[in-house]
Amino acid sequence: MIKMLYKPVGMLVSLVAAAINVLRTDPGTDTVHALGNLAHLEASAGSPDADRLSAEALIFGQALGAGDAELSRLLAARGTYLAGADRHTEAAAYFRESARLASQAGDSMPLGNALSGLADILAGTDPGAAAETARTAAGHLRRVGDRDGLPYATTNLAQALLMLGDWDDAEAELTRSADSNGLADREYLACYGAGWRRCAVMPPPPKPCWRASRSCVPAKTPRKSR
Amino acid sequence: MLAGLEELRASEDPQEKSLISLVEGFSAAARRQPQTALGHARAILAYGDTLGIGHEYMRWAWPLAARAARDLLDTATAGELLTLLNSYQPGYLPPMLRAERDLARARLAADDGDPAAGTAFAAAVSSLSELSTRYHLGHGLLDYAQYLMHTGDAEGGTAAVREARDTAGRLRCQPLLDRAADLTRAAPPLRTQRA
Repeated sequence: MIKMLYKPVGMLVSLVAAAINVLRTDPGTDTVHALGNLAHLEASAGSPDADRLSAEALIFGQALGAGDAELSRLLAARGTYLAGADRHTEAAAYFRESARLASQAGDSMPLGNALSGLADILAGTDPGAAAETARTAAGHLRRVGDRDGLPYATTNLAQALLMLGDWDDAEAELTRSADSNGLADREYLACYGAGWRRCAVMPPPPKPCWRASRSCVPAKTPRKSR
Repeated sequence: MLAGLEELRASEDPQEKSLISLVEGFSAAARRQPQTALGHARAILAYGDTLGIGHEYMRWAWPLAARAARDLLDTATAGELLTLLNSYQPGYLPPMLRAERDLARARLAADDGDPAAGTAFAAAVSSLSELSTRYHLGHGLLDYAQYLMHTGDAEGGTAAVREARDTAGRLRCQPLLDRAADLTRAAPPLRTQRA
């Protein structure tokens, strides 16, 4: 899933659109920022204006010399629109460039969100790459404490693992994120995990005790953490 | 299990609404309520223009809808679902849904008594193995097993059930295991081969 900005959509779109009308009289970085937010909102809602707005926001951003972090957000908004339009190769290209610029700017939040969006795109065709990308995204978002973006990166990781058939790992990631990252109150994450257990309702098998078998000895090196 | 998700239920976000529908749809399928499962799956598919057919919830909702339609013997809906996928340009369809479409076509061919159904099933299972998830492959194998048993190939059917059961066991997926158990119970006993 791609992180979306709205809640509720209609009210926010109206507010941002009104702000843009004021800002258009003397466009500057605030105009670009507002346009980017509006583009993201419209793309998230599948609005017919999303194509035009996400392109316009990028044109404004470039023309006004927006910084890398801002351009990264604008590219991600365009990527969100393209993903919803099933133009996945283009969407992936925008998210990759978004991630590159965010990395260049040293801004972990847009970097994590761009990688999370990229993982979402990749999950349908290359779940192995999607899992790796989502894991990296989650790392960035965890570092900056992005409680909005982290659940999406986590579920994108879970989705990639589901596609790979690693159901236990998917469940473990969801549980770990809820427990360790203080996201247990995030309904979206809770619902994803609950839905998950609807499919896989068997309890995990008991862990074998190494003492029970002479052929097994405790590992000398710890397993690589996920 | 979904109690207390008031904020999520009140959301206008198509993704969040789809997530709830998907969970409720799979819950209904696990409780063997295909009509309810179909309703939830179709609610998600209605967001196709917003989320895109490649979205993860579409990838899971379409097979859920197709399976529920099959369970209901609702060939009209099965046909509508195929029409929906066929309305997309081939490059827009995620690989997983291409494989599921193959499977749905094989099921319809079997229902029509088409002699090519067996070949279509084998091809669909191969597609699922290559392009889809283990979970969906498990269901496809059980569909194939059902067809093989119906056409008198109990041995082939039993082998397909065994493979599906192994897959379900590795996933620890109880609904899939339950379906495999149902098929095993319904299967005619295999004749012992003489040397």
